[in-house]
Amino acid sequence: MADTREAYPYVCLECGQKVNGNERYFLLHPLLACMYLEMDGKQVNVGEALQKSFEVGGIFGGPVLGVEEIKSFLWQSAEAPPIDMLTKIGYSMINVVRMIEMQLHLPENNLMLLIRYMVKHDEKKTGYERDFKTLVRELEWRRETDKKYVPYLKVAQRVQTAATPFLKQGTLGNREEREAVYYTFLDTLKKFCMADPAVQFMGSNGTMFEVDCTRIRKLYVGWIYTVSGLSGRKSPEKLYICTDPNGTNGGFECTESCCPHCHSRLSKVYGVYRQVTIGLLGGQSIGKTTFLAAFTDFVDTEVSTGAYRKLPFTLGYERPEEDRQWRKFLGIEESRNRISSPKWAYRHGFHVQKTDLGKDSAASLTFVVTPKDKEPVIYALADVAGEAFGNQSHVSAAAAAAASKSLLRHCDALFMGMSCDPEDLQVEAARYKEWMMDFPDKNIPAALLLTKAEMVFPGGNCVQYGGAVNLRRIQPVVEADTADGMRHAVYNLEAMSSLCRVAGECAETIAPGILANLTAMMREKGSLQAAGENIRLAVFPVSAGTAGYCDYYADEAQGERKESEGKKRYEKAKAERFGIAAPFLWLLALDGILSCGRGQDGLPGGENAQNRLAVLWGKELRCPQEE
Amino acid sequence: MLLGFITLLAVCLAVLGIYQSRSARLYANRMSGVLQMEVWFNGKTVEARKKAQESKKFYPRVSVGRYYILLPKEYRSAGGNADTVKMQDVFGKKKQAADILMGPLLAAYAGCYACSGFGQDIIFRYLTDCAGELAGKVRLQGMEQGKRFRLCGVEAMMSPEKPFVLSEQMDRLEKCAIYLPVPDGSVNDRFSEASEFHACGLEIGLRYFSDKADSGRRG
Repeated sequence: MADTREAYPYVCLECGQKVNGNERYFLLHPLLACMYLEMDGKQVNVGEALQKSFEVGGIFGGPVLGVEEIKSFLWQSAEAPPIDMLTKIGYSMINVVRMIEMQLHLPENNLMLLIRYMVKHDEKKTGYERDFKTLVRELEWRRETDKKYVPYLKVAQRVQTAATPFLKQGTLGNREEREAVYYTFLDTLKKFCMADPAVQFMGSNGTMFEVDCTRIRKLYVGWIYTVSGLSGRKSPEKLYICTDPNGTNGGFECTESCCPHCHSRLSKVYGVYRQVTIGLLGGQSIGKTTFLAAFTDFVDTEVSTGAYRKLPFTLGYERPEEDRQWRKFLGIEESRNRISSPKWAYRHGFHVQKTDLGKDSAASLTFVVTPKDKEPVIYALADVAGEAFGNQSHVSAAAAAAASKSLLRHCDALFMGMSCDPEDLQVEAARYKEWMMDFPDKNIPAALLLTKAEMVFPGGNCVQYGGAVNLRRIQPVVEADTADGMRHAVYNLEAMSSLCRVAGECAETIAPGILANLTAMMREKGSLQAAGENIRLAVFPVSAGTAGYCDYYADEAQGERKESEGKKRYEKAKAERFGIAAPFLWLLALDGILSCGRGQDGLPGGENAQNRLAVLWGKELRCPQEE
Repeated sequence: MLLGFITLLAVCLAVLGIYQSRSARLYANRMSGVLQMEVWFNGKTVEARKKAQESKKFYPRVSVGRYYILLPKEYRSAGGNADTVKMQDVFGKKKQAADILMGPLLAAYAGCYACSGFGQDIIFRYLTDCAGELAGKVRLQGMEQGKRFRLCGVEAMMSPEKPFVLSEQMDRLEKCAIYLPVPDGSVNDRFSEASEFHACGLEIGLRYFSDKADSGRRG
């Protein structure tokens, strides 16, 4: 492959950090699972035992088991790679501890120092085995009398601070529980170090330990990346492990890739294709999650009907079972209550549950848009809980808010929600300016979504259009003949831009001056030259059709829950919703994936006039307001 | 003597130059670019407001939409599709270069409206009815020196209102807004019956973009 380029940078939807290129974090449990140690007459698997409290991993292309130089190579065949391409490493528990130290960014041998101190302690008083918890208490007590214990205590504190965020804990992670998990983890490590015959703890002759080279195990490992045929980008694939020196069998693979910052699982498509992050923000309970549920339902059901059949790209989501966010959203995750899956709720005629900031349940969905004969593009719709911008005192909520803010800072486009419901008016509407303070100075396209639009357009009837036009009939795409003689769907530009102007007038009546405010704000944020020309702001009325929906628990209170009535409500919503796809298609038209036009056969006029028309339409697409 | 001759020559040349540039401008003003057309119900007429107060009907000014209509250079016919209007009908006869017949233009606008997903609904029918009313009567002319549009044929219609509203800062063939009262009451009545919306005429905003690549505003 001559044209092999680094992976695209992407934004992790969990923590909002931007990740460059091939930087990827892999969980290495299969590697540790190769390692068995004899304890109390039984063979114990190191990987399985450690996995309960701590996830060991490594950065792609980086050191494995403390060995710095691991080969990384391109391998796309289904067969195992030959043994001479892999790096030979010998390993013992020392290497495992070293890897954990590297992962926690601790200085070398910090963790080992603690373990050795413990082992030595145990040796002195045989028959009396103490755990780390008592050791640390003891150190704290002895510090007063003897200064030589102070360094040990400092190291212990440093290790605890570094390790605690990465420990696996239950949902209620209070301080005591975290400490318990931490001490269990250290105890397990110590037991393994003692059980490993290759590790010899020395006395006080300067060296801390010795590795017996004859008893060391050997492994062959190599980082493997693949190159996508569609984009030509190389993407980290796995760590290949071979235990058999002949290379015939015994191959293991570490395939679970994670974000290097927050260590949450990532979808495989990240980095392979260009990512466009769309921030969906707005005040509390204005229907952001409902919009996402309706949009997903649209992608599932309607994108293959009507004019959408002729779209010049495919729109869908890939391998949702591998993506934690999708699992949450679709309710694949078993442990969760099904009502907490927005899609299930939408499909069954119930209100979507309110997004709880503390439990990081805000969904960020990844859609893959594949244009014909072109590279696919990932569109990530990130739902941010409305409280993210308030002043929250709650600790975990504050952390989630920081992640949300960071995510929004890396957005490539914004969907700003504003509710048309007069009951939840309209504290948040004026606060977009405040929210944008943190943003970098870049001019990004922004769509103002008027959610719950059925309040302003009862039954979808648009009063502004003389009561004669129903918004459900204005389709964002229409079929048209294109230059290559094929019939394609194009973005219905002129009708949509008229609709945007009407919706803009509505927004002005709900929150006077909001459009002028937003325009001024984006002008500030835009580049200095010709900023006014390039502002991309549009207003869309959006209705998910959920006006007839009821609350899940309210329905339960009436006794028997009726499935068929829920289905009826869903069918009604499906027929009544409008404007769900329009903002997304608008973005695609801005990106040039969807061409603009009007459903009409070959327009007359010379080439110059056609070009002029393209320019005018481009202007209409960016800024429908009259200057 | 010689000085006088030279002065005369210079004056002649200057006059010729002015004439030349004017004719060039007139030529350039022949419509061959893109016409932006926006239609509102119930434009800003005093008469309409008075009527509204008398009959206690509500007459809001409502935008129908904005469409871009391509103007052909050589008045070619634009295919035989029923939805597309023949451009040679819109632009009258070949000799009157800058004349636009408002009836077919409005019909072309209605065609665009129908094409863009609305279909042949009640508004489409109203627009085509209005277009039928206007056909053969109202023409839009580029005036001499390419200064402004002029609306011809409106005088024959029943309207005390000044039929031609022009935004003053615009010169040349760039932008104008026209108020067209629809004289036939039955068209309006049919529309208000079907849509519960009372219309009493159309306001049409026109803006012309030349097909020359650099000509946002010719100076």
